[in-house]
Amino acid sequence: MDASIAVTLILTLKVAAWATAINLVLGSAVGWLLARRHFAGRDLVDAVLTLPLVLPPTVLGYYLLVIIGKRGWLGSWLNQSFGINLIFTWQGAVIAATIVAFPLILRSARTAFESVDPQLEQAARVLGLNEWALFFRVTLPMAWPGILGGTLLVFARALGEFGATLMVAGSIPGRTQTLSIAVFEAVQAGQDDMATFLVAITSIVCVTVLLAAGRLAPRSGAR
Amino acid sequence: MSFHVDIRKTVRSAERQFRLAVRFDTRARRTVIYGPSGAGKSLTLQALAGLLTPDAGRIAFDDDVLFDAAAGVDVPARARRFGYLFQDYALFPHLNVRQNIAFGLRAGWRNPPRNVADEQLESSLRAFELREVAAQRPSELSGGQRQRVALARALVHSPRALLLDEPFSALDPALRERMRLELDELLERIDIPVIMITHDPDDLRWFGETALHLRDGAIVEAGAGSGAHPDSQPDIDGGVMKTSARNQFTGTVHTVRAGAINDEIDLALDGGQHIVATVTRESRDELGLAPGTRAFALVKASSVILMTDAADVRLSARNQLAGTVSKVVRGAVNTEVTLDLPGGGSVAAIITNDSATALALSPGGAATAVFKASSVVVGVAA
Repeated sequence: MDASIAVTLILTLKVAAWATAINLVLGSAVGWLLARRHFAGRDLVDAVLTLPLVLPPTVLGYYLLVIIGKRGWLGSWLNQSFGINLIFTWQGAVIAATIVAFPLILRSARTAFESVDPQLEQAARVLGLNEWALFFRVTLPMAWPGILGGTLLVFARALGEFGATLMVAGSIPGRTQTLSIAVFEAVQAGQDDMATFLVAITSIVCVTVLLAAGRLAPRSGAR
Repeated sequence: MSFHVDIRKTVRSAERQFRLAVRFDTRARRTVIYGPSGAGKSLTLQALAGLLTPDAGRIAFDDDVLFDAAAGVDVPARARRFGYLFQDYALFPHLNVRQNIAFGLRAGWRNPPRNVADEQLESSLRAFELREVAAQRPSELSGGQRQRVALARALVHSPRALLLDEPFSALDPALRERMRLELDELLERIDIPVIMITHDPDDLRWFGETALHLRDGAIVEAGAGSGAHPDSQPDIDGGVMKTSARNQFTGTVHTVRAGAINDEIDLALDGGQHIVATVTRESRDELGLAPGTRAFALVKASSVILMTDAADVRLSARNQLAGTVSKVVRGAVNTEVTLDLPGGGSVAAIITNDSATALALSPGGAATAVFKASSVVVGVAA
């Protein structure tokens, strides 16, 4: 029992970590685009990307099945071209968690980038920096506390993701069954002791994450 | 060193549409673009720096074309090599003074480390008296220190011109006067052309060798800046100077002669000459001017008249300082002439180009600087 719980815990952390890493890069990039570039359809892009925040996770899961499922338009192409199948894999769980948590990082990153005074970027340009250099030397460092806050929210959200993950990755113990799904299964099976134990572990992990965030954030906030 | 600017830009916002059509050429060392807020001053300066792309026209610095809409030339801001002082200084809040100044010294994706060391940086910290605050962040600095950091940052990589956006508007009035003097001294030392935009007539008086009046997006008047307000009398207002300070003399008060309205101060300069200045009695009392008092005297360069043959001339002006012409700088409208005085020190005079031609001034020649006692501002160190 202990071994399988350890596997579940590690799998949960792995899925959440991947989802966080992907969101950090994608969310920062799209957040910057929405904050700094004016293009046609910007509001529509923003709305579509924020949808996961308001849609029920099961609806999202259904969309994902339509897209990356064996007969989905992206899934069938992946399957035929590379033999890749994402359904009922931990990678599928990562995709589900990534998309569900994406609006959280997008909001934070966009707000953080918008709060960076464009004049500071102008100053960097006059001082001889190109666009990439000024992003990494001025924009990103100044937006970082806000982005970091969003990243921690993403991690917490990915850790607890249930609905979309269950639909896309299923609940295969040791392979795709994350903590939140394991809690549901234990309760369904009447294993109250197991459920209590899993709930305790989940709670401890979440409190640890929050404490870690509390220790990290001020130091970054003070820059 | 010259700027050629001929640009057009239409800026649209929800409330209004603003048309900028600015055209000027300047060879002056100091050019002030003066006008009310909303006249298009900032847009003009941004276009010069490459931070704003005009719709049409041409910008050139000497023979270097920076922007030419017809030819498709638009040199990016990073390659124009101008120093730019932003109105609120735009110091990087996440970097300390050292890192801020060294920012432009290195390209690449990483900021200089907190304890960055560099020869140029050290001499810059010394020159701007920033060594003691080198490890502090901009938020910990006073307004004057912030401006010095911004200037040091703009100048450390040897730009070929300096662009100043309302350099004193972020300072309180008392500090403003001091920083004007500091900037004036700095600009005397560095030999690069300066373009300043301002809505403050005092800035115009201090720095406007050539003045361009901008209104509603167009230059409405161009001419000699210092001569633009010939009637503006320098005065001492509670110990705060409001004057052009091109000429600064220090010395000791020799005699004070009471007059009917004003008192007459005879100041023995450290170089040996005497100059006479009139001050109001209130000023004299407030400054505590009495024989033996250390004092300084300021004279606007545009208040100084030059004579080349002083032998048989009688003048009502009380001050005549004979010297040797050491420098003649010809601007678009005016010529600045510097005379070296026998006892050390110098006098600068701004005269029209026509007068300079008529006097045939050239370095090495003898000339006498003449100015009225009422043109001299006397002050004491606070």
